[in-house]
Amino acid sequence: MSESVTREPVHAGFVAGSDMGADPTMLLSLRGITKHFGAVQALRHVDLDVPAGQVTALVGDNGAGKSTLIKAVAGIDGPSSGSMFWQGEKMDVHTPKDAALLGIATVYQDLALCDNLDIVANMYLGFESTKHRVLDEITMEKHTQETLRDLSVTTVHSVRQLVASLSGGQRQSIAVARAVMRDAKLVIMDEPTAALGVSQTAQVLALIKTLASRGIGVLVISHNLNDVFEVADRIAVMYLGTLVSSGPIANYSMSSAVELITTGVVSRVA
Amino acid sequence: MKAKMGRSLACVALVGGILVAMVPSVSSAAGKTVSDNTFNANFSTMKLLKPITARGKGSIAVLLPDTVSSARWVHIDAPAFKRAFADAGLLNGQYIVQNADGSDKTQFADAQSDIAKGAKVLILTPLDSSTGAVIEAYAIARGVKVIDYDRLTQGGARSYYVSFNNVTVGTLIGKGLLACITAWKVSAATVFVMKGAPTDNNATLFAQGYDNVLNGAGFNATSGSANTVLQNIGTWDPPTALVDFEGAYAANPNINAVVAPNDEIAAPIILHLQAAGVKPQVIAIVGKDATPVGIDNVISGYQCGTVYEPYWDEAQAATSLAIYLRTKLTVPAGLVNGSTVDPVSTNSSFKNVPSVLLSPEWVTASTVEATVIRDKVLTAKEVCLRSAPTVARDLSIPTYAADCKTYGIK
Amino acid sequence: MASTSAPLPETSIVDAPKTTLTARLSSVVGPDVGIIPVLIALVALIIYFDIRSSVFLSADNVTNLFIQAIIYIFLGMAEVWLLLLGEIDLSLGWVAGMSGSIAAIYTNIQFGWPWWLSFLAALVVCTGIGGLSGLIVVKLKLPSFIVTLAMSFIVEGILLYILDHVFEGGGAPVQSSILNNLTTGNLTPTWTWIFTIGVIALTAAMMIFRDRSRRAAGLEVPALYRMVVKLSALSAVGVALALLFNHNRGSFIPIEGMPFAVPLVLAVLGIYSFVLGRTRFGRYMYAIGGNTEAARRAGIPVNRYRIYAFMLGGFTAGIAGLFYVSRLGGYSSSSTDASVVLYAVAAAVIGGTSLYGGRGKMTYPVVGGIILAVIINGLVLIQISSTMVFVITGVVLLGAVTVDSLARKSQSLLK
Repeated sequence: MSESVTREPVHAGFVAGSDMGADPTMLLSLRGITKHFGAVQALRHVDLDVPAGQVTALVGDNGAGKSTLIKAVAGIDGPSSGSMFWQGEKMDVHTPKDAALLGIATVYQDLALCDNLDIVANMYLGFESTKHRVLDEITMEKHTQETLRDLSVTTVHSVRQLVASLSGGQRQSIAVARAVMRDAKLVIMDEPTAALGVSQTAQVLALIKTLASRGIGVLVISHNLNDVFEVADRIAVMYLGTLVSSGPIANYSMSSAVELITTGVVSRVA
Repeated sequence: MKAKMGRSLACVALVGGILVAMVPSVSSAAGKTVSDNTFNANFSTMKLLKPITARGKGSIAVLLPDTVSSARWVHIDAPAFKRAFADAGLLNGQYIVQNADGSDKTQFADAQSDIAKGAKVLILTPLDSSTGAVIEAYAIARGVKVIDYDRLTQGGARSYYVSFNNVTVGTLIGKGLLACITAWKVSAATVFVMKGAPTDNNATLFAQGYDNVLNGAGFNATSGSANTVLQNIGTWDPPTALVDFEGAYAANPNINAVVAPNDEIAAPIILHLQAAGVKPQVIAIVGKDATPVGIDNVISGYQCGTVYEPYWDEAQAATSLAIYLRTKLTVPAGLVNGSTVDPVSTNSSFKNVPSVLLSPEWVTASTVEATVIRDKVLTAKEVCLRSAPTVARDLSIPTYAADCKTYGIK
Repeated sequence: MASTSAPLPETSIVDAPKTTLTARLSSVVGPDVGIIPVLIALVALIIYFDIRSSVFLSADNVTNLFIQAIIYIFLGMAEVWLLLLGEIDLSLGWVAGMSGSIAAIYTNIQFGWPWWLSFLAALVVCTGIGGLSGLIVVKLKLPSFIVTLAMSFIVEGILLYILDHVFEGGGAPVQSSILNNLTTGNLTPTWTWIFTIGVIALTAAMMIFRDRSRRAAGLEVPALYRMVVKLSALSAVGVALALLFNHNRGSFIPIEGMPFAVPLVLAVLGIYSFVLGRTRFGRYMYAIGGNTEAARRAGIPVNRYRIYAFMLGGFTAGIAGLFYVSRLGGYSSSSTDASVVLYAVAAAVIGGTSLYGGRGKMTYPVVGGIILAVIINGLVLIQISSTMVFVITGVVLLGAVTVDSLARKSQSLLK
């Protein structure tokens, strides 16, 4: 970095740090989210908007606070201060069930799938449909097939396969499909492609785009900037607990993103 | 009949304890000492030991083996010892009765802790000879004397051996079977010979007894023959014994006589046969121990008889020896009536073991009243009111009351 | 994050059409593929013993064999409830003893309770013991191995105390004809046929109904030959057994007909299999065993279900105990058999249950229990020392687990 360059954060979209009411056109709005664990400040006045029908990528280095932010939204560990708005209304999320009721589905890195059960069973886990107290396998199977078809998850041979026999990409797809089947409006995904090979990554990215095209909001945490630039409509960069920049992906380049991630600022290239 | 010497503690010295001949037990008038044949079911002679007890020091520990090989250890020996000790004047802290529950480790640990707490005499029923020998060596090294109780520790270092003549027990069983085969008119007798666990020296001695009898009567209990089926490996475990019987019976359906090593093993076998429709006095089965189930099977005609060993006499004999051993007095000659050879021992001091060998009795339906009931081992109520087995298709026997009446058991 | 030149083809799971015999065979049993080697081993053992002993397949011996297998079967089923969750209950052998003893004690003439009341009392106590173990495991977060090991000592002590003191002379003999009949009673030959044909017909009906409703819903239906193979095998075995049981096996009086124990085992098997395979409850058991965290996140009350599993284990052990005491004619301190619980686990595992949780069906301990009984019974008949039984049982268990593990590895596909 040369000395003559001035450093400025690049703003795009909205003014960070404002305490205005939420943007009602946004699916999810976070204002002034702060979180500390004892003396450690994990999040510092984070403002974030996540629109429906678009893919928002949340990027940042390790320790930047991405997971903490997600946990706050998903109802696992609420913020110390700040407000969250869902479709313009203030939201009160204390447990994962609350988040689920609103329509927020989180797909964790470990996917939370039961390897010993088949796809149908996993899709319906906890929400099985029954007929006279007996599992209504036929209904569940049909619905699962439809859901997968809708999402263009075509490589799976039979929905009666055990999840253990699926590839990483397919497992990811199933986890996402499960979220969709619960009528999620916002799907949060934590490092969906981290463990996947090239072709499986493509599969998952395609799925993410499909979700967005159906009007579902997608918030993706990712380390992989290639994937981010491939699939995201918007990007939000976190650095040491602060949201340093966000906006449409077109406003960013790979190098500016990298700089924001690693330093929190971007040098204005003359 | 020789008259027995009267009481005189100082007169009789038993040095080294080798008496070669087995003195037949002589019923004596009340000597004022205990001797091998003065024990009875009332424990009345135990109080004669009180002066001896007063002169002794240290406690006595009884180490019983388990609860599986026989019901006697828990039901008869343990309470008998406690009563004998108390009647002989020992105080509560001066004796302890323990059961190792089938574990060698436990038995050894119990012995060690008893000695540490001041035991001067151990009365030991070894689970097996190897651990028994270790326990006895440990005791001797610390000046503690050991009495082998009911089972001989081969290669051990004990001062006395108290038991029933186990070979006699086996002989009674064998003779009982033969008598039964005649009485019940079992024709073309084919015998299934069972044994107790091979680790139990007593089981071997019982088998010696009945094998001899059977061999003498035209069967071949040593290697099997057309009329003799042998169990593969002996066991004291009833479920295992039952499986062995079922297999043998399926392979040899002409088996019509069974030597069971005790009543607990005879019982499920009898049950199996009853389910197959066997009527009383058809298949000759013998057992041992005179348990309530055994007696019921005897009076209802499913079991020929059982061996009745007044175990409390055995306990009293061991108690008497122990009380003498914890003093510096010599054990009276009349208390010891035999000698047993330890086949394994190489140590001349321990090869021939001075022994008190008591006599067992054979009990059949007609002698139940005169033995088991008279001695108050079982009560008539217990025997008669237990309901009878459900013989296939014959549900009309509600209890053993009828059988009791037949045999005068009240 | 290197970019590649060309996208690699997706390693998808669309199978090439498989027509080899092994493939067809494995598709018949589906995820139960590990059971094929076990069934083959069972058939091999049966043939071996039949050659070595002319009596092995006699009506009398086969009946004995089934009754001998019952304790392993029921205790194995009890352990399956726990193994599915990755737990184990080492106290179930003594719990079974407790159940049998309670039933024998209360039907004794001195108490005179009706049989159904004593059975109920026995089962309630056993379910309670299981529940207690489960509660401790869940609330104190202790490993079930240790908790149930401790519980086994406690139950053993209490049971031996009860047996030594409840009746003079010790022990609890069986005095109820119902309790006796559990292992000695038989169906009449007519009813044997009715039952056998009924079971086959019912199974066929269920299979056909399932196929029809799937077809009606437009779902893919497994190939017809699968159903045909399964039904033929079932019918063959059923008819063979019915013929065998109806053959007169008595030497003193005619004894014919299927032992009561068989329909009772099948009834429990049927109910448990239904619960495990067709209800939410069963589904949740599998989920918790497969991925406890996933189950928790799905909203399943994991702790509560874990306790249920322990209770069901205790309850089933209670049933086992009733049969056990019936066979022995009573229970006393000589009837101790601390090792029977290990045989129960072996029975479940030989059949294909996983020790780590998430995999197992109630049919597995049935197969496993029968194999154990075949080994023990057969070895006695050919006069092999009973000490060899231990060695052989161990070898079979090791073999079964190894083969099962290999079979599953080959079935799972490349990721």
